[in-house]
Amino acid sequence: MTLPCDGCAGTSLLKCTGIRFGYDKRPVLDGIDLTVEEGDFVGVIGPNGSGKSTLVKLMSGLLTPLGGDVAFKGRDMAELSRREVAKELAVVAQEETVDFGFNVAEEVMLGRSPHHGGLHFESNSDRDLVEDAMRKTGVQHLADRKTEALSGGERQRVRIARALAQQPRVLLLDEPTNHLDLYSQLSLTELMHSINQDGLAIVLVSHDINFVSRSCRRIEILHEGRLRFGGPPHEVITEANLRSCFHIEAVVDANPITGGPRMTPIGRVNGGL
Amino acid sequence: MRKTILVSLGLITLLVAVSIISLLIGSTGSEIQRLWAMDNSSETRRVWTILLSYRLPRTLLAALAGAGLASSGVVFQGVLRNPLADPYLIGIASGGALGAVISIVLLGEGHVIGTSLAAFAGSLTAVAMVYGLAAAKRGAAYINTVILAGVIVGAFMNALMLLTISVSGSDEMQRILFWLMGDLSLADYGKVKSAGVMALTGWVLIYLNANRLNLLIAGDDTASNLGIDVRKARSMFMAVAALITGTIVSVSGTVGFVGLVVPHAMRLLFGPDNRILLPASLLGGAAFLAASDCAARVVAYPVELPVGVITALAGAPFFLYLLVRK
Repeated sequence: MTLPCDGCAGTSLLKCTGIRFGYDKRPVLDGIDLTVEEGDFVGVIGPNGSGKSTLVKLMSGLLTPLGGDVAFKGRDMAELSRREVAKELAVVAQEETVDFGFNVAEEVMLGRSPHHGGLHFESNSDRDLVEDAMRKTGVQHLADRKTEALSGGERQRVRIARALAQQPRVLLLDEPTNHLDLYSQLSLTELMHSINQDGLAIVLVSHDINFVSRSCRRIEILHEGRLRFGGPPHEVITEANLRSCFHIEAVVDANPITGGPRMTPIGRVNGGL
Repeated sequence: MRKTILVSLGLITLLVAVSIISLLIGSTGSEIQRLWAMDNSSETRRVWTILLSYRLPRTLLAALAGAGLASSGVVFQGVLRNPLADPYLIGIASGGALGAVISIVLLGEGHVIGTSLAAFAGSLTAVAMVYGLAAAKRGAAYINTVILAGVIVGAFMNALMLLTISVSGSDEMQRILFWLMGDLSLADYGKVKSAGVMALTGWVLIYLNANRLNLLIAGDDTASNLGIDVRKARSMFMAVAALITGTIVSVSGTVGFVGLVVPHAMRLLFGPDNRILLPASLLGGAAFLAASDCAARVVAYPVELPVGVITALAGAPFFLYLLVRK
């Protein structure tokens, strides 16, 4: 599916239409429809193994769907070069650690790569952007440290800084709260809100229901290969939905301060405690 | 940028110093005075002939081989994301050795061009087999396949080489042994020129993509998300690095340790950024092998040692030191 014009009003940033995917004939995603507009803040929640990471890989073009399509600014993802995509779409995923000893500033500078060719030495404006990204994510003081010597949470912030240095219009995050303590989760939420305010669209996938309902403006539940119940947090995070999609008994009430939905797990459905 | 220039200047100075020593080593004091005299006596001409026809091409070939092996070492370590990788890991050395041995057995040791071409063909055969097996794999599976297939193909080619030597009953064992340990004694300008053009073209192509090599180190998915076509970039790097290595092996035999130790040492000194690491390894590799060749010529004078003996004797303890230090 290719829409006629690129960047014209009304074209979604990222649009998944009926995408299907599976590994070795085992279907994982079976007809995903998801539209991301300028400035959106979408959370996709689902239990382990529901295909959340696969969805991120499909949306970023690392995987090609078996059916349906992913359009980026109206153009088929598969027809775009990786560099064209990377100039406007950044991904923060869990990744393997590397033995080669880049320091934090160098790692964040890698985010500038899509904007340059194969042999480029950083300009002052690159340096300013990297500086800015490190300040926003609070890793400035780590600039000279080797990335392999950092804690999981620090490394996560470095990856986010690298993504911001790409100057993307869409940011995809795969399980961003892994390795993060509560303090870091809260600062991540604040950070995402502030960059979202600057106009960056954010899509995050996570199994952390409370984190997503605190952070995102729209939530989708990934269940049996499809997205269900898309809507604002208080419509989606309900006891009935948690029972049917996550197989947990939970109490959902309003957070006394923010008014948003707050989930307290009680036990497994049919499983007792 | 300033760091790159400083690094390059320092290493260039080192390389020039080593080259001058390499040109003069083995000369007596009075011979060196004659070089300055520039008169037209037969003795002066003889000294100059030794310098220009024997020592200069040999020094150039040593520098070229060192530069090529060290640079491809950087590429293999980066693409395979393994600091222990080296240019011979994927069977190039064994393939080259098999080709060279077959040529020496069939055509005799005098047929130098035959040895070179056969070694080159052998290297590329080994690489093609390894790449063929790994090409379709992604991520860690690719790297594991390359490494395992490289080891297996290498072992197989080694067995074929030993088989060839055994059944031929070749009386050219000395030649074969020298070739296997790295041999620069047959250097001439023709070899320097043809290998130099190949290796330098390849190096420039790699250097123009130095940022992409930096990204590949970060992992397949990350590299792809940061804008490179991983499969294409990786194939390019591996193919060019294999060509450089195959070329060097064809003119100098299988000199060990240069491609492993030099990139390591340079990374320790200058960090992992390939935009700096590639030129540093080019110069450092050249200086290291030229210096090793000097040593090979003089330590057991008048007997000459295969240069690979020196690189291994110097490289192995250094490498162990690096392992322990970590």
